[in-house]
Amino acid sequence: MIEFKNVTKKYDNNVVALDNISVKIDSGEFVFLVGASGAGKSTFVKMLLKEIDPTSGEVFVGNKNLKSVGRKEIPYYRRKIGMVFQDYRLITTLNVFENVAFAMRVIDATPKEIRRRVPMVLALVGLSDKSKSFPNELSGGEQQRVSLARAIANNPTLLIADEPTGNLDPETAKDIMRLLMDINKAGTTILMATHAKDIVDASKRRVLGLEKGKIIRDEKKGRYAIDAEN
Amino acid sequence: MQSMQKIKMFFLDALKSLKRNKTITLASIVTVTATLFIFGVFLLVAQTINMGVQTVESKVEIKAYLIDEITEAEQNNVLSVINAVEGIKEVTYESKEAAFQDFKERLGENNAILTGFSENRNPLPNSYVISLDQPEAALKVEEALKGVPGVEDVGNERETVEKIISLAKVIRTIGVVIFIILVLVSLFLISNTIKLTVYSRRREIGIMKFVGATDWFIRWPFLIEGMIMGLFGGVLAVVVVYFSYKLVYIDVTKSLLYAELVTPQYILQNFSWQFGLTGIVIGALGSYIAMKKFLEV
Repeated sequence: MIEFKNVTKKYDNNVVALDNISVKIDSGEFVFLVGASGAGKSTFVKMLLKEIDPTSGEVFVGNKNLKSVGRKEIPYYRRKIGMVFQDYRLITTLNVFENVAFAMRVIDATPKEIRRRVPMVLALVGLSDKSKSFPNELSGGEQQRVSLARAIANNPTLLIADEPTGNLDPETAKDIMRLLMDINKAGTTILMATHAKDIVDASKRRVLGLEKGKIIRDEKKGRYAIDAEN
Repeated sequence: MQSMQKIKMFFLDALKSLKRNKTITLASIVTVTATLFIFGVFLLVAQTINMGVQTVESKVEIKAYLIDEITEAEQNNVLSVINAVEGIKEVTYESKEAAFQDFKERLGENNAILTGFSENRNPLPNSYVISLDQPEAALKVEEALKGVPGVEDVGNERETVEKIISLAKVIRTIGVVIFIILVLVSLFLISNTIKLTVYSRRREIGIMKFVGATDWFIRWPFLIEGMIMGLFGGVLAVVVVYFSYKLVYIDVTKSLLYAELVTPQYILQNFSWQFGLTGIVIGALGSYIAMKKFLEV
């Protein structure tokens, strides 16, 4: 699904964000990406979205070398990836239904498809009764579930979650994790960047530990090791 | 999605955003109005100058002096040679008698220098008076009449003609330069104002980008927004220019008996849809420029 081959990213200010990284993530895996701020997690994620290109090395997603994805093809490439962020990134002027529909509209889904699909994904995240609510009327957990619904609305093969539980209390975070696990079970590959030690330890999934731009750990049923923390 | 539906959706999006950002919408419209107002004032000034130049140009005339012993055939030949030159408005024959009268009248009280001359002892020749559409034609007439039998001389105010030609050229060049500068300034102002709307919606743009919207999908509602604001601004500018010019026009024509001014009607005839269209184009282009930075990833 994902392969980094000797990837190095050096920013203009000479900061080396990723230092000769090689890693492979298979289809259907659930992988935690852990590490302190500045360890290179954001760079890793941005590279998968082709927001930035590696200084050297190659990134493959779904057997596609991202080098071959031209500027014009980027939007189409991104449609196969679902994104979830710490701050939910919902459009505050649209209600729940519209926020999810928005993601489908963007990729030219027909109104019919939208009317069929949106209630389905909202039911999946347990928000059927909130479809008319606006983001500011929802709790943090609910907002994150909307953003999850939006991320899976277009049936992505890969879901990237960047600190999805960062703003949530432990109970709500568990709910979100349960949903992510469900989505993963249905076949979607999930990459989750996180600081949440409890969640990583409880989940017993593959853990990639980043530090100073290098992968210092890659464990099958890993833990959030103390040494990777600030 | 079908394109009609898409266009409708983009339009609704644009209208929603216009309503949502009332202050910025108003600021943008005012910006378009203000720049097009300046532009309109400039156009009026340019048009007035142009009319003045044209009047001067149309007053340029030259004379082909004929020898007294000219035959009728030669005279006809001279006339047809003159008529064959491009850029000629009118040719009239002026007999030596008429020329003498005219000269006398023009001298007025100073006609003492004509003592000793009379219509019977008239030193002035017969001539063809040629008025021109373009002052450039004066030189062509002179060229054409060279060596034609019966022509004594071509009275040509060559220097005046050349001065007028170069003055008209300078004025028109300045006009074009000012026009370009004004268009650039208005584009800059409008794109900066629209940038405020785009900036206030950068989050939304970011979200659109990561869910896989194409640049044009993101751009269209903003372009439509810009066009609507531009259209309003343009129409408003015409109205403002029209009414303020009308005031000036009434004032000037009241105090000056004769003033060669563009009529206010001219504004309605020549500015209305043109300004609307200019507003639309400036609005769209302004939006396009304003978005550029925000679409880069």
